[in-house]
Amino acid sequence: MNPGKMAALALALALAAPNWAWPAENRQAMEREAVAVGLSRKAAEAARRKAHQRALALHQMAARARAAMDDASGAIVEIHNCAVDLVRLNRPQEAMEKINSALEIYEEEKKLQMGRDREKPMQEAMARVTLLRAIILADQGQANEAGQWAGKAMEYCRKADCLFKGRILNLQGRAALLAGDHKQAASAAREALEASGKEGDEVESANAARIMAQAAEAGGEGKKAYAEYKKALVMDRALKMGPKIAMDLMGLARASAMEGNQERARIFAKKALAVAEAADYQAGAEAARAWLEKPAGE
Amino acid sequence: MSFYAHTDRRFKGMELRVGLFAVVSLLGGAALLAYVVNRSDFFSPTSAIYFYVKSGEGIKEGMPVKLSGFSIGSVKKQDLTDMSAVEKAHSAGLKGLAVKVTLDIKTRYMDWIPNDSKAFLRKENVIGDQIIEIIPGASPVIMKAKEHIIFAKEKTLNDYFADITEEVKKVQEQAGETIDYVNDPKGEIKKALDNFHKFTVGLVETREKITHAFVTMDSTLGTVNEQVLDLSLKANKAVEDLNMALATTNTSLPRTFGKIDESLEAINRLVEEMQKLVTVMGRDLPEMAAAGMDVTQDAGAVMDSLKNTWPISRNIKPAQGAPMEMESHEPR
Repeated sequence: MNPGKMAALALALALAAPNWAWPAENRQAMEREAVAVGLSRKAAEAARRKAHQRALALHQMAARARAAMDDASGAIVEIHNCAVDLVRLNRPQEAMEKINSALEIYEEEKKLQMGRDREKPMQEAMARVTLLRAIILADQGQANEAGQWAGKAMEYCRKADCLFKGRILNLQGRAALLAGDHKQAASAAREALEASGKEGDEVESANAARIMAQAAEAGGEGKKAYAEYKKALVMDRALKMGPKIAMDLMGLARASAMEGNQERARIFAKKALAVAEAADYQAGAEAARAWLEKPAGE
Repeated sequence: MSFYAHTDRRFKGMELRVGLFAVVSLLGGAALLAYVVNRSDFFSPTSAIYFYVKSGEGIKEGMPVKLSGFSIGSVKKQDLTDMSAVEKAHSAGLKGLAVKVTLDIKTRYMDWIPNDSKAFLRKENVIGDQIIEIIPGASPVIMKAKEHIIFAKEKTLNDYFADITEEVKKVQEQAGETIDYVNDPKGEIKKALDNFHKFTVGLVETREKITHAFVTMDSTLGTVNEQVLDLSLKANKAVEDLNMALATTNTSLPRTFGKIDESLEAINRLVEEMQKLVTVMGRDLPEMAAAGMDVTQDAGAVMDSLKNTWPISRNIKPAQGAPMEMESHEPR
């Protein structure tokens, strides 16, 4: 057969091939995947607009889409996202229930001895879920439980080689502070600062600096606390995070008072109040107001 | 014997070659046709769902139906319907003549439409085509074919302006009523003021009588008695007038305040409408600003199409939904 005929035959086969090699079922599977991703993206957009209720509904749909494809790690990620929406809607108990359902899925998958290709995304998803559980526990003031779950999150994160170790270490620091162990808190925050730097996570770098400051404050080291709060303030100002700036300014006020400089302390507290009010950070504004109202030296 | 002798070697086997070429071309054409028909979802099964709307204005047959930005079907048909024959639960409060709009949804997407989902008629963006958008509900029960979907019309800017005009009219009417009420010569406010005026006149008269009484004090006791009697009568009258005035004021003032409250409520409603308008404009203006982003998204869609095309798609890893990032400490 001459080259011309071969080319004609090849063209005909190439035109016909998509229908045989790429049947409609495969395309539909890809479309289902696209719907799940689309729902997740829409939910992320809604969350960015702070429309958390809508984000929750869309994340639930996305979780169902992932479950329908037997994509366990994808489903866990979407359930985690639902839990984040619930935390932001101030419904931590429901968030905990979602996290429990994600843990159940993981336990079932583990019993089925999932393949290696499913293992890594699953470990990363679990790192996120367990970290979120630890955050909720820390928010509720349960220091020991928060520390334990942060430890589990770190185990999963190391297995998956995840890129949010700084965040987990910061949470361990927070839990240590809640438990009154300021040395452990400072040590975790130092590690978090290093890890966040490597991961390029500026928000967690600032959080680490603040935890170091809080640890110094808890240890009665006013001067060190002042220096660390200043570092945190510079980072939070660069990130333009109003509530965090208010927290740093309030820390500077307390550290100044520890050093005996009451006038500077009051100026910082007034600035903290103004920033918290402007940023609509009510808890911060109340804390600053209470501090300003109490007599100096208390 | 043929007219021309086939002496050229190139004509050898020509009929066979032409025939083979024709067969290959036909096969290729048939394969291409099959591919195009398969790609276009022509034979995909669809499920019809429907809603009722007062006017079919803006809705056209063939109009796309979208869910989360994906085209999942189209408007199949519109029929005029007598709502008296329609179940109350599905009539959406419509009476008389209405339009039944039937949507053709690709059956494989029905799994994403819970039975409490809502359909909206909206523009894709500020200057874009109109579409029917389905917003999924939260019910665990999935909608089935031939079921009713709730239709909710989005308010347009014109609707908001009409609402505001209506509220402004109400405020004007109520303000007019309040002013008329205050100015009414037979009204309670005017009566109260008249009574108060009478009371002050009575007081002046009383003062004059007292003065007169003191001036004539040296006259006879009888005269004084008469004057005192007169004075007490006048004083009693004055006190009665005062009581009447106070009673009228007590009844009329709360009503006046009630009218003022109504006006304030109307103003509050007006402010709320204004806030809604600002929200709508706030929503639409960023959309205009985001027109440029749409171009980028279109480019993304082209890339997505490429990714879905065999054999390119074989080498592309399936996309994953992004996890939401939560800080170690989010101030709340």
